Order: sequence, then C-alpha cells, then structure tokens
Amino acid sequence: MSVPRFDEVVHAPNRLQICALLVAVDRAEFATLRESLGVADSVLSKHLKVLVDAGYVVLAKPAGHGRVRTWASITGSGRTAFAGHVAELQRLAATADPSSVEAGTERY
Amino acid sequence: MENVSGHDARRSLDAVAESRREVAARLRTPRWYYPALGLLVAQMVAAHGLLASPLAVLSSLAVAVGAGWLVHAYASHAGVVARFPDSLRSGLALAVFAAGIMVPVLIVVLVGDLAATSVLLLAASALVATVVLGPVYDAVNRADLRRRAAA
Repeated sequence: MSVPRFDEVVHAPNRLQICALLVAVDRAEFATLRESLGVADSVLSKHLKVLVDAGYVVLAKPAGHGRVRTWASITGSGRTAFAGHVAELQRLAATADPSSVEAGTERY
Repeated sequence: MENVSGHDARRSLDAVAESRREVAARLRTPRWYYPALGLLVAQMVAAHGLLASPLAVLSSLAVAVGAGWLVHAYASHAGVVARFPDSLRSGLALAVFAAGIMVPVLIVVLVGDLAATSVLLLAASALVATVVLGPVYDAVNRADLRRRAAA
C-alpha cells in the first residue's frame, strides 16, 4: 500500500485521468488519451507537457510506416506519485465517509 | 495542498475507476488476433517436425516477424499496449496460455523424429491452445482491471 501524499501535478482532473489510464497499460496513444478525456489536442498537449516536465510521463514517437503516432507512458516516479495521490484521496474520502475505507487497500 | 473535501476526493476516485473501466474495455483483442497467432505457431510446429532444418529456421523467422506485426497491429487497433500482468490471477492465466503454445513447440524440437500424424496433432493443439487460452487470458486480465476499478 502506498503512503498517502497529495500531489498538485496529478490532482488536476484531466491529469488524474491521464495517469489513471497510463498506470493500467504499458503505453497509450495520444489519440486514445484525447478520446478518453474528450478534450482538444491542445488541451491534452498542455497537460501532457506538465506531466512530462514533472518527470511523470515520457512521450515517444516511434519511426515506422505510415503516420507518426505519439505514445505516452508513465514513469516510475509518475506511478509512485499517482499511487500516493490516490491513497491520499482514499484517506480523505474515508474521513468523510468511513464506509469507503475499504478502497484504501487498493494497490496502484 | 489544495483544500479537497471528502466529496471531491470521492469524485476524483470515481474518475480514476472510470478510467480503469475504459482501459478494460479497450483491451478487447481483435477477433483475428489469436487465430493468426495460432496459425503462425502451428506452422512452426509443423515445419520443425516435418521439414529440413533450413526451412524450419525460416518458419521460426516467420513467427518472429509475424508476431511482431501482430503486436504492432493490435497496438494500432486498440490505441494502448497492455502491461505485463501484475496480479496472480492474470499472471497465472498468461502462464497457462504460454504453456499451451510452448509445450507443442518444445515437444517437436526436443523429441524430434516424430511421426507426421503426431506432428500435425501437435500443430493442431498449438492452434487450438492459442485460440482458446488467449481470449481466456484477456478475459481474466480485463476482469482484474474492472475489479480494481470497483474497489
């Protein structure tokens, strides 16, 4: 179980969703993240840049046939920050609603 | 730290859970994936059991190239690449799937000098194992993701 730690970078709703999606996969394509969040390219780019600058996400543009796609993956520190932030959210939610304390045992 | 209420925290956790469910839905393997992979493995089993070494090596190369192409096509199709499983259930399902593919291959390679009928039966078993056990692994993996989303 992670140590609860609020993370300002992760907390913004779009960035929280990006991290939640990325921790569950090895990597995700830019278009997939955009569809998932329902935001414009520019909005997603802005949030990804914040995560990249924090060292939480890395972007890759593998060379190959056809159009170049951008793939995003979460780093070790991003995974740690996300897990700590979720643990903190679970702690806060449990404080407000003790019946939700079970969620505090979830591992990310 | 931003002032976050318990209600806000719960709403953020719900958004995290929704993202998990969405990933689980996206990790639905295309119908052609496992039959194509099964055919690649089956032809390798048949080639190693029935053909001379140079042709068998070529068939192994075909598996390597074909499997690489399949993974690339799957990633393009789904927009995500699955992680190596980190739960016991998913890991076990992957191990059973891998064994279903590898056992016929290893029998043909290690035992050698098998009758043609036996080789073809092993090739067929590799195909069936891939087509049956692959989707089982997918289902277990998706169920794990959904279970975490619900937790």
